[in-house]
Amino acid sequence: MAKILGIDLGTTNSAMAIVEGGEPRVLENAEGARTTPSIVAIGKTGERVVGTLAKRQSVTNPLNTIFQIKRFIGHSFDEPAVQKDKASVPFEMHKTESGGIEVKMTEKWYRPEEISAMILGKMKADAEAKLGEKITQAVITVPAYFNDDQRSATKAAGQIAGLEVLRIITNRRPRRSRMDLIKRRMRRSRSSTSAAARSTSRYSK
Amino acid sequence: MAEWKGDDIAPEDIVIEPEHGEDRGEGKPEEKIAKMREELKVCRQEKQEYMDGWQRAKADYVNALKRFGEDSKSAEVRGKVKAVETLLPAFDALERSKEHGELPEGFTAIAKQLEGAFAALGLEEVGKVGEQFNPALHEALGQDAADSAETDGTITAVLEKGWRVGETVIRPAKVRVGHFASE
Repeated sequence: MAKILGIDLGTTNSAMAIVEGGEPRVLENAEGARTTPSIVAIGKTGERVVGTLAKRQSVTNPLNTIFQIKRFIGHSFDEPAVQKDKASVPFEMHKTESGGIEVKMTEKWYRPEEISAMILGKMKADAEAKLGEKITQAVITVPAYFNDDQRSATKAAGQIAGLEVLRIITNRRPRRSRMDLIKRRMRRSRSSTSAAARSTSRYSK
Repeated sequence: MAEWKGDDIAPEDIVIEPEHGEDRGEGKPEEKIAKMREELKVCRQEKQEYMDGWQRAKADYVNALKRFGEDSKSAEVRGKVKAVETLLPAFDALERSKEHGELPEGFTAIAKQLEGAFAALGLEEVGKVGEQFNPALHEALGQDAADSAETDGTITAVLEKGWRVGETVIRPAKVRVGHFASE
């Protein structure tokens, strides 16, 4: 039975892991790093580069280097969040007939799913090279705030990359800094203390 | 019919004991067969599960052996990479001082010694002005205007030297790249 690849498809970086002997193991990419930048580019000579190499050449080729595509996957072009994010990226974007988004790389338009599929494809190829066996199935994580459209678009990206997406897993706990957590706990304890104080004062009256 | 030639047991005295469950009101033969078939099916399923598990474990073992072999081969390279990574900042500082002509004679000899040690470890310098930019070896930090289309995409300045051992890039060279704007 072939191994199932677990992929964390991130906005900035992506990572992959497998379960071996009941324990998860993070796989390094072809460059030897445990995370792969979620960046895709097409160079001047027409070759497609993904990950670290795409990041290294981004300064020389900003119009054809696509990054932060996760911000656009499963969205409509007219959404205010998309319009806001569109202003901060150097690559071109346009509205499709169905109201979706397409980004431009060397005179060709790509859907966000296709760009994500290129990242997933690179991770699949690197995992296959690392493990020495073919990978056909995967589980992909998405943030808890992703809606159904975003989830199905992520699944479609996996399918375009040649993966059978067994499950889309939610990152249940959002990433927070330790300070955020401490602040949250303090706020909660303060509110519960004040609630307790209120109830005490109610009874004492 | 053949005559019985036994010593003291007559054929009518022989009693065939029923097998376990037979003629004891525990079900008809068809039911027994169905039950046995069910048991056989379960056994086959279990066997298949064990077989799959064993094959997976065997494949994992073979892959792990292969990986251990590769790991031990690359351990030498990784050792060099780690050692060199810790020395590189000091070496870079020496190089920069040398460029500014601030290095006393004694320190120049130390820098040469370091270069010699790197060469002995099989380290190769990456990134030279005039080379074609290659993201596998170089990291672009900026662009400069190029005079002609021929110099488009070539390295115009090396901001920080890159190093590699064989096929492993320890650090990509940080460079500026020429850009020819054709109008």
